[in-house]
Amino acid sequence: MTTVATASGATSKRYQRITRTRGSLLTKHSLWVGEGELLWMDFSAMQEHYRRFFLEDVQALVVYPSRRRARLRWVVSVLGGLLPSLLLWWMTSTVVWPVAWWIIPVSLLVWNEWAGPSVTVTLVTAVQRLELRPLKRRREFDALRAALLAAGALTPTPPPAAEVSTPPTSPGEVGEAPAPAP
Amino acid sequence: MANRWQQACPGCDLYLELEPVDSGVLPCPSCRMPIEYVLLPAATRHASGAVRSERASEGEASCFQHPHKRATQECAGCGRYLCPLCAVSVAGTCVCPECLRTGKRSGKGPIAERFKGNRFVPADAAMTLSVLGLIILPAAFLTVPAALTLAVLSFFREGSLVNPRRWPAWVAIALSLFEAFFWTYTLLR
Repeated sequence: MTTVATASGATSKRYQRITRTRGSLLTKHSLWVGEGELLWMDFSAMQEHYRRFFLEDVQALVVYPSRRRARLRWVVSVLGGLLPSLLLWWMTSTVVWPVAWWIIPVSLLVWNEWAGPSVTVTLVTAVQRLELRPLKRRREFDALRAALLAAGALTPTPPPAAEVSTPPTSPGEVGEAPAPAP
Repeated sequence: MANRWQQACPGCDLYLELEPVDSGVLPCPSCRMPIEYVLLPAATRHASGAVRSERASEGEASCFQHPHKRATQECAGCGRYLCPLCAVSVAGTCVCPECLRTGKRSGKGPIAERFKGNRFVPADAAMTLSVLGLIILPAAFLTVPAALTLAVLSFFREGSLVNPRRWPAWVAIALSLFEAFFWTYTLLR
């Protein structure tokens, strides 16, 4: 938790970091939990921009696995490891530098595995559905859930069986929107 | 009763009509992708959309704006009695729409703080400018004084809302001084 001092010197708000800051030098974003709100912070060069989601308006968080970790494996292995090491081998005609280069992609791959499974989280309110882009990993979502539990926004309940609509009976039904509920 | 949702399965794009009654995992019936739901209290709240205000009886406290409605809360800003329609919950307190409007407009206080959409962060701006001076060398004549000014200013002004840190200001000062000495040395040689 961080404490923010206002201009008057009094501490006014507390925010708990949920995700690390992602992005580039000029644009970054991260997710924080404060008193009764979820704060999405975008940073652009000199200013912080805030998007607030009050917990009393949030209906649900929908989580499903994403392919980000698998994609990163390929990108790091091929673009970050194989191609540069082949280039180094072609330029230096030795194996020392190409092999030494692999320290970097291997470290990234270890970090990628250590960071855990990747997920996509969608925030649902009565009027919007929004993908929480700063939140990419399962462990970050678990941290968010723990923060919401600590804030009293969630009630710990065992996972029950819930109703799902009838599965499609023909391939034509797949991907089509259902008829409006009566 | 929970609200009904239409959710496209991210795995197969099948539209599911769901009525999740509690947090849990619902596998897609078509591709079996596990879709997990974490429900918050708003999900099980009735979605009628209507705010019910009861008529005030004789001798009961009534709303300032609606004299015929029974007051249920008091504005934390001006002390006026409010019916459920007029009561706005902000930052853990209940205020009337007028206090909300004036509080937002003033730019100070808990209400303005609660709704602030952006904030200028002098320390980060100083660091961005000092890095810019390193990348575009001639720009240092402009960025160094600006970065130093902003870095010093950051010690007296409020910074980031969520992460009030000072190290970008120190980095900006160090980089700016380095650039200033570099250019002074280069020009005097």
